[in-house]
Amino acid sequence: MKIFERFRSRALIVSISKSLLAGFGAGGIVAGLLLLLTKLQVIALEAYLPWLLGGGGLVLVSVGTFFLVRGNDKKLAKSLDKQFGLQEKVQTMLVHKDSQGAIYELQRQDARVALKNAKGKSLDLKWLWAYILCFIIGVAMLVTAIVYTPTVEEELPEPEVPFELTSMQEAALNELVLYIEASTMQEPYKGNVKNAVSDLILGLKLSTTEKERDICLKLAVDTIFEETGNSSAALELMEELWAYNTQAARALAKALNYYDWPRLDEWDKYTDAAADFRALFIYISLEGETPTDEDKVSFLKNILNDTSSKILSALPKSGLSDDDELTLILIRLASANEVDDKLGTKILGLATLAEQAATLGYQEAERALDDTMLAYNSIIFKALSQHKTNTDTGEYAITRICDLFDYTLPKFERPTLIQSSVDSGTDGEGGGGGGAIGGGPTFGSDDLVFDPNTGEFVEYGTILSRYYAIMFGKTEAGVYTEEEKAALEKYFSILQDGFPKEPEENEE
Amino acid sequence: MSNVENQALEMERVKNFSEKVKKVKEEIRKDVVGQEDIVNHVIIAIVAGGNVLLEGVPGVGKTRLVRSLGRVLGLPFSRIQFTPDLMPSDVTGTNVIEKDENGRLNTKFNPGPIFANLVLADEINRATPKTQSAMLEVMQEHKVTIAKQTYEIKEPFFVLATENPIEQDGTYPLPEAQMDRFMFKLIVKFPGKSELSDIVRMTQKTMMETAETVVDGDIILEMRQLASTVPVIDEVLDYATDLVSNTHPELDDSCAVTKKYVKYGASPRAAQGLITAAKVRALMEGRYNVALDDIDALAPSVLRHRIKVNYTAVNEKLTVDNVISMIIKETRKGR
Repeated sequence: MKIFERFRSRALIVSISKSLLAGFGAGGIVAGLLLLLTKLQVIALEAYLPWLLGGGGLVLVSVGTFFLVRGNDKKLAKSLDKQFGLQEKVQTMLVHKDSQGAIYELQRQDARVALKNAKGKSLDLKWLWAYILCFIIGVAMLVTAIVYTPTVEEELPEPEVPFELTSMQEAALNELVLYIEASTMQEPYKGNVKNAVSDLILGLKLSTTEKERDICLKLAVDTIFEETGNSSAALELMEELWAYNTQAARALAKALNYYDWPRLDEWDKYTDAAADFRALFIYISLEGETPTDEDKVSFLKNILNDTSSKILSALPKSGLSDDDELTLILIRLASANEVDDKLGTKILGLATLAEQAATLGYQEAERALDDTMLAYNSIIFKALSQHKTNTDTGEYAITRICDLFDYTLPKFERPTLIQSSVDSGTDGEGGGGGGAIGGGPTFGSDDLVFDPNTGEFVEYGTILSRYYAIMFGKTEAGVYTEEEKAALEKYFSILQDGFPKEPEENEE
Repeated sequence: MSNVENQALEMERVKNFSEKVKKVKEEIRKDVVGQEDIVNHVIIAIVAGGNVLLEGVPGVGKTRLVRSLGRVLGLPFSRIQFTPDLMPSDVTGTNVIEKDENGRLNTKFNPGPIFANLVLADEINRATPKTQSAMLEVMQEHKVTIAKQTYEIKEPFFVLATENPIEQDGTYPLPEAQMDRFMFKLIVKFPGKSELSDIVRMTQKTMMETAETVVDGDIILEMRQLASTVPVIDEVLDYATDLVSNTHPELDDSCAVTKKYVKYGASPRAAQGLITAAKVRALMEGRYNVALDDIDALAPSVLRHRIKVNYTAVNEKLTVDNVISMIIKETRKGR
C-alpha cells in the first residue's frame, strides 16, 4: 500500500495546487475588479477593501475547491485504474487490502507492480489547464488594476468673464425702481422690493465678473420673490377650501385658483347662501308661509356660518401671514354675521328682506338679494385685486431684472397644481374661465419657438407669461397709447382664451 | 505444513494456472488451426463448468476441436450425432432386461452417451424438441433421472454442442430454456486464406489428432476451484448485472438501444455466467482480479443466445452482436 500512499500524497498535492490556483485566480479577479472599478470611480471603496475582499475570495474559493477536488481513496483508486489502464487492480487491492489468502496476496502484489510501473507517469491532470487559466486571469487582472492609472482630466477653472454694468442697464433698473415706487403695491412689500432693486444696482456697479453679477442677481430675485411670495399662499388656502367639498368653499377656491379676480362677480352663482336664499324666498312666496323673524335670521346665519367656519379653520393652515390683506378680508368675511360692518349689515338686511318677502314681490326681493351679494363679493374682489397687484408687481420686477441680464427666470408659484380637479368640479364651468395660468389650454402653447435668451427652441407656453409680464409692465408705465394697449390686451386675451365665439345666426 | 508453506503452495498453484492453460492451448493448436478466440472461450467454459454451443457452417473444425479438447484434457469423450429420429433414451440411456447368472430376468441401466465427461452434441438442432429436452436436466444439474432413478454424472462434465446456422428442412430451433443452459454461444467463422492453407497442409499429412493429454479431470476441478476465489469488486459485479439488466426492454431504466432493438433480454444465468467466466479469464490473463474488460470480452458470447432482437433490428440489418456492442457501449459510459 506504500505505493498507493505515494499516489495519495501526490493527489493531495495536486488538489492543493488546484485549490490554490483557483483561489488565487478568484481572489485576483475580485481584488483586481474592485480595484479597477474604484480607480475608474465606478464605485467608491476604502483603499483596503479590494484587498480584503480579494483575500476573502482567495480563502473561500481555495477551501471550497479543495473540498470539491480532494476526493477519497476509492475515487483515487478508480482514477488510477482508469488513467493507467490497470484493469481495476488498484480498486481490488484497496477493497481487499486486509483479505487473507494466496489469491489476495497475489492480487495485491500484482497491483503494486502495476502501480510501480505507472509510477513514472504523472497523475491525471484533467482540467488543470482551467485552473491555470483562472490563475492567469486573476493575476493579469490584479496586475492590470495595480498598474493602471486613470488619466484624470484636470478641470480647468472657468475663465472669469468680466462684467460691467452698462448705462442702459443701470437706467432700466432705475426706471424699475420708479415703476415700483409709482405702483399701487402695498407697504411694506413695495419698500422692500424697491430696496432690493436699489441694492442690486449698487451690487452690480461693484461687480467685475459675471459670477459676481449672478450672485447679486440671485440675491435680488430671491428677496423680491420672498417679499411677494405670500401671494402664493393663496394656493394653500385654496387647497384647504377645496377639501371642504361644499359649493361655497369650492367657488372661492376656484376663483383663487383662476387667479383672475374680475371673474369673481360670477361667484355668487355658486354660493350656498345665494342659492339657498333664493330657494327660501321662492318657498315663502309660493307657499304663502310666513316664518317668524327669529327663524329667518337664524336660517341666514346658519347658511353664512357654514362658509365662515370653513374659512376660519382653513386660514391657519393656509400659510398666509396674519397681517396679510387677504387674511384680514377673509376674517371679516367669516365674521360678517357678527360684526356691524358694511357686509354684516347687508347680510343681516337679508333677514329683513325675507320678512318682507310676502309683500315685496319676487322681482324686488331678488334685486335686493343681488345688491347684497354684490357687496359681499366686492369686498373679496378688492382684497384679491390688491393681492394680485402685489404679486404682479413683484413678478414684473423679477422678470424685468432677468430679461435685462439674461438671467434664468425663477419658477413663479402659481396655483395651478389642482387646476384639473378644479376644472372637473361640479358646476361645469371650468372650461369657460381661465387664461394662461389657470384656464384651458393656451393657444399655441405646444409650438416650439426660438427663445433669444437661451438660444434654444422652447414651447411657446413656457415664455408666454414672460411676454405678458413685459407687456403688462410697459402698459402700466404708460408706454403705449390707449389704442395700442387695447390691441395688445386683445392679442394676449386671444392667446389666453382663444377667439371669442361668434353669436349663432339662428339665435333670436 | 505451516500456514506460510500452505500459502506458498497455494500461490504456486495460482501461478501455475496460466501455465496449464497455455499448455492446453499449445496442444490444441496441433490439431486445430487458428480459431484462437474460440479455443480460449471453450477453455474458459470448461474451467468455469459451463456448456458451449458452437455455431458454424459444416467443415470449419467444430467437431475436431471438441475431439482434440477431449484428448488434451484426458477426459472420457462421447459424441452424439443428433438426428430427427434420435430418441431421448438414445441420449440418456435406458433400462434393459437381461438374464443374470441364475437365469433370472433383471432390469439393468444401460447408460447412454451422455455419461461421459466431455459430450459432443453434434448438430443438436436436428433432434426433435423432445430429445433436446432430455439434455436439460443433465446440462444444468449433471444428473439423469430414468424411471424414478437418478444417476449422477462424474465431474467434470461439459456439453459442447454444435449447430448449423443454415436454414434446412428437418431442423428444430433450440428452446430458450435449453439455450440458457449454454454458458457461451460461439460463432465459428470460416477460416481465413492462410489458415485454410494450413488446414489443408496439415490434413494431408494425417487426419488423426496428434494432441497429447496435459491435464486431467482433477486438475480441471482444481482450476475451477481456484478460479472461484478470484476477487470481484462491487464496481465490476454491478457492471455485469447492469449489463444484463440493460438487455431487458421492459425495464424502465434500460438503455434506449435495448428499448429500440431488443425483444427479450437475458436471464440471471447470464450474469452468473459472466462473472464465473470472467474469473477464469482473469486468471488466464495472469491477473488476480476481475476487470471490466473481462466482462466486455465475454459479454457477446454470454448474451448472444440469450437475447432476441426485434423486427426493427432485423429491418435495420443489425445482428445480435451489433446490438450487444451498442448495449455494452451504453452501459460502460462513465465507468
